[in-house]
Amino acid sequence: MKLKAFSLLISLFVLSQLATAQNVRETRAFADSLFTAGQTDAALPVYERAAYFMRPDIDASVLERIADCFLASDQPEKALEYFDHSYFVQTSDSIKKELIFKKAACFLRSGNYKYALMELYSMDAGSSSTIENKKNFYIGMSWFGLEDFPKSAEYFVKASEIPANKQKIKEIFADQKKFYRPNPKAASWFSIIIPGAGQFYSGEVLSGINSLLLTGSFVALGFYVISITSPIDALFTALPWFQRYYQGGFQRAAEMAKNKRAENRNKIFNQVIDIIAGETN
Amino acid sequence: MKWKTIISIFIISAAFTFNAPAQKAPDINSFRNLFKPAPGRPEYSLKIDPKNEFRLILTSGFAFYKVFISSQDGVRCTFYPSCSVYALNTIKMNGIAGIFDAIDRLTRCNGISPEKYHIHEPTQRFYDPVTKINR
Repeated sequence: MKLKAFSLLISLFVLSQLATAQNVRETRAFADSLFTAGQTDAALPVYERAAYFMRPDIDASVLERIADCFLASDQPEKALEYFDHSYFVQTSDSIKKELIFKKAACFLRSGNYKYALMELYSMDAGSSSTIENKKNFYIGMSWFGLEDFPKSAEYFVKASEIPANKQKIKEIFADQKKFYRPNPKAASWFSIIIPGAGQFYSGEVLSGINSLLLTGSFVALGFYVISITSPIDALFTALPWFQRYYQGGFQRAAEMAKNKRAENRNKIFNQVIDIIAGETN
Repeated sequence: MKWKTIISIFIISAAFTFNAPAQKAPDINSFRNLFKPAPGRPEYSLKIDPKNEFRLILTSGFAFYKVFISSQDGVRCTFYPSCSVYALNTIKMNGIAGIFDAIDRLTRCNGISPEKYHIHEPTQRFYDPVTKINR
């Protein structure tokens, strides 16, 4: 029995000496393989583990990969923190420029267009036309987000290299009115005058009919109550319901117009993307 | 030899500089739909459940209310999830007791006790999720 226990102890000791934990280099390699395979969700905790054991001298590329993983999982604010950290650790100027673009992309995706502009305007593109074009494209997107469409057009034109495409972009932006249609205020007023009209104006016909029928039925209820009892009764029974759905109707009309306008703008923006992306094929 | 090398490097780099595309297509295309309005996250399902008569009436009534009535209303409920969604989910989860839970929720939907609830950040309304009733 004693011999058995002793041999078990010896075996355990030998095994413990042979078994080694995953080191930082192996962890990093494993994270890279996951990242390359497109499994960013799985790669993220592994990169974080690698970064933890690298402290305090964390590799800039690990931080960048962590940020890329966050960006891939639609967390631009979190990605920004790591891109920023990576930027200050990084020593290569060319990679620093690329990190500025990535930071700007995070700001664009989180709707912080002014911050994106601050990053981009403070960047020196140098003599590289590639970086200059990219910078112009990003600035164009930022101005587009800030609803300054003439400025946005100016930068998108600069970002394009082919004269025919520059002309196409100018044509897209020639009619500035289309960026402001449908107008939410107008939609709201239409629905105030005739319930449902704002929804029709925004292209939401079914919702318009619904609003018209709903508010119409409360008006009918009001008149019915007046005819069988008194206006005071109607004031307390039908009017609150009418007020609720009448007010809701014109608020929804404005909301729908705003959404429709955003969709229209997005379609225009995608046309610009098609033109500029087409140049690279 | 030295001049030849310099001239070759210059020609190669010039060729790359003048023909360099603005950016790579995947990079540009990653911004497609950047300005698309975010779809409202549905906090409920409009699926009609024909498992039994009670569920059929409940789910179809809920769908009718959401599609034809609630869609025309402004933001009225002080809670997240809204009272109608809460009622549907609590009845599904707690059965008959859920009906009383839903009535209780309606009586609380007035905003006069803000200290009792956390704020649901995305909607800025009081957060009051459905919970299992212990009987």
